Amino acid sequence: MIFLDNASTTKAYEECLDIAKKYLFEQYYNPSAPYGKAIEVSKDIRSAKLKILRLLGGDGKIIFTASGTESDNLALLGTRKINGSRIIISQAEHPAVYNTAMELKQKGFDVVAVKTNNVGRVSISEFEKVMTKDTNLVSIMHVNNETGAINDIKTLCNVAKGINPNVIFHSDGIQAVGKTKVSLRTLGVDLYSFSGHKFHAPKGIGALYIKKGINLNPIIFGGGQEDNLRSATENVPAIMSLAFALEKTINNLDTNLAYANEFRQMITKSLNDDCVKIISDDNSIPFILSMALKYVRGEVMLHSLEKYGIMIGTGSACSNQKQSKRIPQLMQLSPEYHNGIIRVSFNSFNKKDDIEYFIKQLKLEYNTLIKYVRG
Amino acid sequence: MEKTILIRIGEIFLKGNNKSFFLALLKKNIIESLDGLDFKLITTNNRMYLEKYNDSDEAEILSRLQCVFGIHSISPAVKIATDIEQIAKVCCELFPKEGVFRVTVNRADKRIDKTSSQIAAFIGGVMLKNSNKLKVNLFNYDFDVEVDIREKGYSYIFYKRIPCAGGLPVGCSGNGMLLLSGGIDSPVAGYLMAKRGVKIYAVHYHSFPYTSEQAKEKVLSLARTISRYTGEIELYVVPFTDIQYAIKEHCPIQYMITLMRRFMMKIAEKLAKNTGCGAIITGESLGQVASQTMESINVTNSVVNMPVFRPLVGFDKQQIVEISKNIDTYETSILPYEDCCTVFLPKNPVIKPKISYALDFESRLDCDKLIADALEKTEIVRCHFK
Repeated sequence: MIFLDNASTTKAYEECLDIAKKYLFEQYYNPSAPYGKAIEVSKDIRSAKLKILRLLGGDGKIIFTASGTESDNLALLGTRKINGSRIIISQAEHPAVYNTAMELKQKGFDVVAVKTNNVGRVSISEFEKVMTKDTNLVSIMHVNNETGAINDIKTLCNVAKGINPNVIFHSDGIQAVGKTKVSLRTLGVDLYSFSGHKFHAPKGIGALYIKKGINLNPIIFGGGQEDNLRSATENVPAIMSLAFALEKTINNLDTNLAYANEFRQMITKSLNDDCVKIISDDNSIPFILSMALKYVRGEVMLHSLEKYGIMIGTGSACSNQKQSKRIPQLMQLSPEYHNGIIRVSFNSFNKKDDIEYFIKQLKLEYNTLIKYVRG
Repeated sequence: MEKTILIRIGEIFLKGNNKSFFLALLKKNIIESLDGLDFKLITTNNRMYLEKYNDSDEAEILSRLQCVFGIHSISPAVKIATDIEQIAKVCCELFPKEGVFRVTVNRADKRIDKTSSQIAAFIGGVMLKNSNKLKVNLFNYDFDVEVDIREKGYSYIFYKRIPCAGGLPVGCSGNGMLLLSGGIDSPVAGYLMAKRGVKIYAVHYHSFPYTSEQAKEKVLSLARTISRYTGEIELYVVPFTDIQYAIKEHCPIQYMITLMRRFMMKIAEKLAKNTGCGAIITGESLGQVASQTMESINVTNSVVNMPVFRPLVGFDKQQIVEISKNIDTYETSILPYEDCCTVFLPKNPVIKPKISYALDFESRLDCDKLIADALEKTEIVRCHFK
């Protein structure tokens, strides 16, 4: 089995199982309980948060949630905003941000989606055009989930704060953490979302970084855990696994980047022709590569490769069921490529042979499928 | 006092000498539908009684019985020794204590010296004394307390009649092979034919890699959903891609859908014969799409000798949607996975195809081999709602 859909999720590190076991069978105490054993667990969570802050270079706090989507929701909905004020997102946001922003638009906020280029990157000049003094919230993704394009969050954040020093700047870093060097301090963001299963931690655990001095309102109410921002008994096994997986992934980042760059070059060299158009540009993280097939539908290629045990993506797996046209439109492809978008994304478990096999089978299947394209 | 569920039969009640056949089948279907639950089923000439079940299963039993064809309505009741004063007391205990009501008595046991209306008046009187929030009105009432006094010294009392699916017991009209796509219409067609007593087999055409595993799962899910009504469905999943490739390569694209549907009918007939089906069932509705014009239906129908039942032929889409919502298939049907009919869909499909042309195009293909190959690779899945 060759898994090339790592932007949708990743295989967890085996060590996560031992960590989970420890906190499920030995230190299973509720961290809010007052006895010693439980207090130890709560201390472990605190250390995990400190470790994460150190690894991501942030000054503030980490709030654990159940997913990246929940983190994005907490960021957008929990920010204190003046009714009807401007909220800026980018056109290429993941549905977790995009649809939450649309919900705010329904409630009367002036939601503006800043233009991006064909790979989903926000241009600074376009951003300057829409950023106003009454903008209360900006949410722009760090790395695009479809193309891997990196946004210049540092500059965007500077521009935003230059126009309105009180603006809250959130960035969805779900595809960035573990795949590119992240220094929250350098980026300057106030809020930053990420999700464990994108870097080999289990599913069901996400986090939101909140810079020192930034106040949010909760969107989930109850016992007041997580500084009253996310009530619910903490998912300790997953929290501890996330902290471990983040450290391991960041420690291996340079090696993984080298592999990913090699895989990316192999694919772009062998496939970039008239039949397969590479969409992702050079200023993208090497782990995500988006391309479009001429006339052949991406979904059909996905299923064709499935029979060889190769799994790829056709875009955001989180929104596949709705078959959104928003992202393909942004990519400005000519009509013959419109339905042909596929996405391959790598991880540290992939091998060079896997990529060679993928290239070979993709060519083979393409040559078969192109004969039967729809009339 | 014992809890009982009264089961009233539907159309079977009109049957003559063969009534016992229908009743036996209905009994079998009820027992199958309640698989896994404890109960005792007693059959009489026009009714059935379900007894000795666990109180905690009652809601589940009522819900499953509502899906058994052949049942007209059901009532959760209490079985009690015939003693009018005792009956009145139980009515006060069990039934609503406020609102407008009436009492209806059916006295089959003629040994009781009071008439039905006298008994009704007595029970109503006791209930009124018991609660000052109750009122009687024989014509406009919120609930009707029904007392059914049977011959053998016991009575049933109840106040709810839950309407059921009606129709005839599944299996009494033979077997039918349903062409099941992932759409809205075909599950409804299967449901309607099962309602007329047809045991449903189904065939689905799968175009991997053009249609996904999710599309297949969707069809399995639809079959499982309607199996609440039809009983277990044996679903034949036929790989269809090679046939589509052959048509695409050798025949004009405008005839793609026509020729595909002719293949589907031929394969369905073969499967129908193998499974003892006497008819093919489709969800076609006249004029809905190009393949459902009268001319198209004629061309696709001409390849089979078996009767083809099209229960939706005169239905509007909206009517079909309403039924699909009622039988819980709608939400699954509208999931956006492509089915085999939309793969290779030509821009302008022929709407008035001709049999002679179809035959000519088919002569370019090795139809027998294509069909044999598809049948050989066919997968059989048993679909049951549990």
